[in-house]
Amino acid sequence: MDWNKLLELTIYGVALASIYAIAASGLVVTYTTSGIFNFAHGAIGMLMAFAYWQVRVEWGWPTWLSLLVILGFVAPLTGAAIERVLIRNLRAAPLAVTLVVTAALMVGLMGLATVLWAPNRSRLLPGFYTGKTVTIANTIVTYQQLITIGLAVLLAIGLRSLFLWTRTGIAMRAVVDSRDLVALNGGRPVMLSTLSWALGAMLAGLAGILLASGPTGIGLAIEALTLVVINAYAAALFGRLRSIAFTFVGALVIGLVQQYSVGYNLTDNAFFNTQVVPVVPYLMLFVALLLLPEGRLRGAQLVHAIKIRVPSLRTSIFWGGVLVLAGWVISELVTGTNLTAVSKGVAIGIIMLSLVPLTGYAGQISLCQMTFAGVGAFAMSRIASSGTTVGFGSLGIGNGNPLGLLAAFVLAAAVGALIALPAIRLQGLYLALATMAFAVIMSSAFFEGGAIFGAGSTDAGAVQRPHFGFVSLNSNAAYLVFLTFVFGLVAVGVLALRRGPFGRRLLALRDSPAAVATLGGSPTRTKLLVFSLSAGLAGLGGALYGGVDRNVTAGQFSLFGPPGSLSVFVLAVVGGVATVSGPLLGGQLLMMTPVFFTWLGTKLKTDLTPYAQVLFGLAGIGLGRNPGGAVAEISTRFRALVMDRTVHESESETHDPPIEGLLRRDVPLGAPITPSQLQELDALLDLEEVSGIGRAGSR
Amino acid sequence: MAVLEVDDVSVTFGGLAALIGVDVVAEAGAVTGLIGPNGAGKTTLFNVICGLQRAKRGHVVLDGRDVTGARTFNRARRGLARTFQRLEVFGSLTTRENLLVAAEMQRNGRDPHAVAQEILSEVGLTEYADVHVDSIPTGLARLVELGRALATDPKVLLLDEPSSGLDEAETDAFGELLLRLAERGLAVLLVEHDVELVMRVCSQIYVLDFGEIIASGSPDEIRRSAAVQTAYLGSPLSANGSGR
Repeated sequence: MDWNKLLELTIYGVALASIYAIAASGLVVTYTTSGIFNFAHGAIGMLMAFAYWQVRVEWGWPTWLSLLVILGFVAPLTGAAIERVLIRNLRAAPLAVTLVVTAALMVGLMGLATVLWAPNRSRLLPGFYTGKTVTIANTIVTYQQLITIGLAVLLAIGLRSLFLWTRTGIAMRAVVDSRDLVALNGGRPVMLSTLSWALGAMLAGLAGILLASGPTGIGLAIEALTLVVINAYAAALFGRLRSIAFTFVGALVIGLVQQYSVGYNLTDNAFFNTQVVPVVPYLMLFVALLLLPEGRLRGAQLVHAIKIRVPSLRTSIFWGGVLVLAGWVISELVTGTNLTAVSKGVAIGIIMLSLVPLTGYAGQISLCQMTFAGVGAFAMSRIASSGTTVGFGSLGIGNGNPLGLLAAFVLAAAVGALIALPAIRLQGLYLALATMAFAVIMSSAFFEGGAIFGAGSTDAGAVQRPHFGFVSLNSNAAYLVFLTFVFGLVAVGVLALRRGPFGRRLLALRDSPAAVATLGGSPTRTKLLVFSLSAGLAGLGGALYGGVDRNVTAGQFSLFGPPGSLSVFVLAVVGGVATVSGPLLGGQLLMMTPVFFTWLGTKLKTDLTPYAQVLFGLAGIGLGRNPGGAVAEISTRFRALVMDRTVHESESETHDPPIEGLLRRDVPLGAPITPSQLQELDALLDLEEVSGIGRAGSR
Repeated sequence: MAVLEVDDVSVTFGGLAALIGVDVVAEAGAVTGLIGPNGAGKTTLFNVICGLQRAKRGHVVLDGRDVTGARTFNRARRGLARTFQRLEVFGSLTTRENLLVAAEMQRNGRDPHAVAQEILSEVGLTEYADVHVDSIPTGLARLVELGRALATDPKVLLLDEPSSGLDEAETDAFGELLLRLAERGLAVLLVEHDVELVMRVCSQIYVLDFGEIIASGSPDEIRRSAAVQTAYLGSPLSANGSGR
């Protein structure tokens, strides 16, 4: 046994673990005090590392001043600003909305980083005390590693003291149990929440700077740095997003496992070493999620969403026809790259349609729809081919055989079921995290590396368009018409599903999983079915998307893309995942906005393309609060404009909050309120239940 | 015949005992009452019976079968249905759709639409059939929950404060409905704050206080029980009449 190597790897591992612990404890602090999981935590860390580079390297400020400015002012102010502007209003919002808003924030911040620091030059962040080392038992340890480990230890001690011995810390812990009680006892939960986000952003920033300046080889790369900070999410899950101590343990396990798997080549398999090892933290995130105990079934949430009318079969077929007609007109008017972009937008629209039953109806979040799309494209490239494709062999049944589309649906649905089987018992947030981990794992360990979409650095692979004998889809115009036809068909199908028993059950599941279970329905089975169906539809969309260019790359099916699962999810929500027209709009927004910005940029002689992503982020943040999305919002306003008074009157009649039920009864003034009425009022006003207060007080 | 037997059930939340060795039996064809002050553990007991809360100790026997380890939906499939104190309606669906969701989960060969229509008129919700449930008054939403439970064609019905939000006339009609359901052979377990209603429709009543059954018996026996008077008023009326 090479003890020196073991010691060296252990020190490296502990140093890496220290960074994870710093980032993860920031996440835990924000989650516990505000109850909102910050998906953008990694992006904040990345942004702060860039900001640090700006002052330290570009402006040449001394290290101490740079650190003070970024970690003492910029990061905490950013965190506090995010809390004040976005998070505070989300406290009573359903989980799906909070996830959309923070995911959109992540997209927006990454866009902002691209705008401010265009990735057209390499940026290097110097380490701390570069070249200075000490030797411990024949092993060279850098000052930076020692500082990193020291900072984590100080942080552990600091956080523990904060939570145990300071008024603020104790109040922060109390906010977790009952926000209202803290307020009643003179605490200021709102202030505490702002404080925790400031602290969280500072810790994310510190982790980002340590990672970017350390020997990890990541440097200043927007996506890579964001992803590595997200590695820390796994550590936070070890502590179930609550315990700082277990978070540190989790970070240690992840850091060591990662370093050992890098240091000891477990196999000689180069693919394993280059593609699987980097995603070890995500594999562990996935495992940590699966080890979580099954939560209690959630009860109903009081949410007043816009009522979206479900069109009849006849109406939906009519609009499907109109869509195909519009597709034909556009295909005659638009040419070249614009035609390609519109077509891709429709194909992405089909992938977004897969989120309608899953997110729009059942309220489940998936951040890996492009992964399923990639599986679909893979199936199409192998099945509907003449048998000459590389890697994994080929089951070719002829170029463009339409059965390839069926294969794409079936394979993606099967993969969907496979991931869902272990993950589906998780609720809300954890399912979203599991799908995100799955997207990163599949991207690195499956799509990239050449076996799937061809060898070489581009990882590109040919995907045939379906071929129907008598109808030729060879021209791009014809393919667009075909895509709109498929979109219409899938949309009519999704609406039919909504009108039927399965659609009803999905909405019931979203409204109250607990009630579904007490009626004899298995929430797990229903979720499994809808997840699988959704994956299948995304696979179908992916196969068709590949046909637009007749070629795909691994990057398109990654988490960040473009187009990427994250943007697909955010823009689907922006368009509206409760309607089938929302995805149509979302797909076009995703594909046409960059085209528009490029065009505008050439007119203004400046590069505006990065602004598209910022816009996506802003749109997601703005519209994420309205689960109806843009289309529903526009149509509601339009209808209100047309019908004005009548609509307002009928709305005020049907949108009575349930509290009216209590108030409307003819109860004489002064009649005592019964305990049950009091409880009902509590429930309606969303106050803590009496038993909850009793428990908190009895501790 | 006892269709539901709760045998020696205990539940703790952290260090706090929410239920301590509770025994309750619900007979087919009768309404059984469960009363007690706030925080006595009534809703926790319901959650244990239907499997939403795991018990630390004890058994739940449904229709002669031990279902203690069974999942919630499997208990429902064996004929257990319930309503909730804090509403658990499907707010984004209409009243009819709420009933349909329940009816469609049953595999008894009956047409769900016919079942839904029948129950709509039985619980008096025909007028609200196609209204979204989160826009109807709370009292009526409780009836939607009741209707939805009935649509599963249950053997045992757990009702958690179903009459709150109803006025006096509606409560009377509701009492009649409960008796009709019992006549059909249903075992109804009723948690209710309206003691008048409980005394009128129940043949057997259990009184829960601080997680323990402190009395059980016929309405008359409960009315006379010193333990019940102490729990509700602080001391038996016969002592000096002063309340807590």
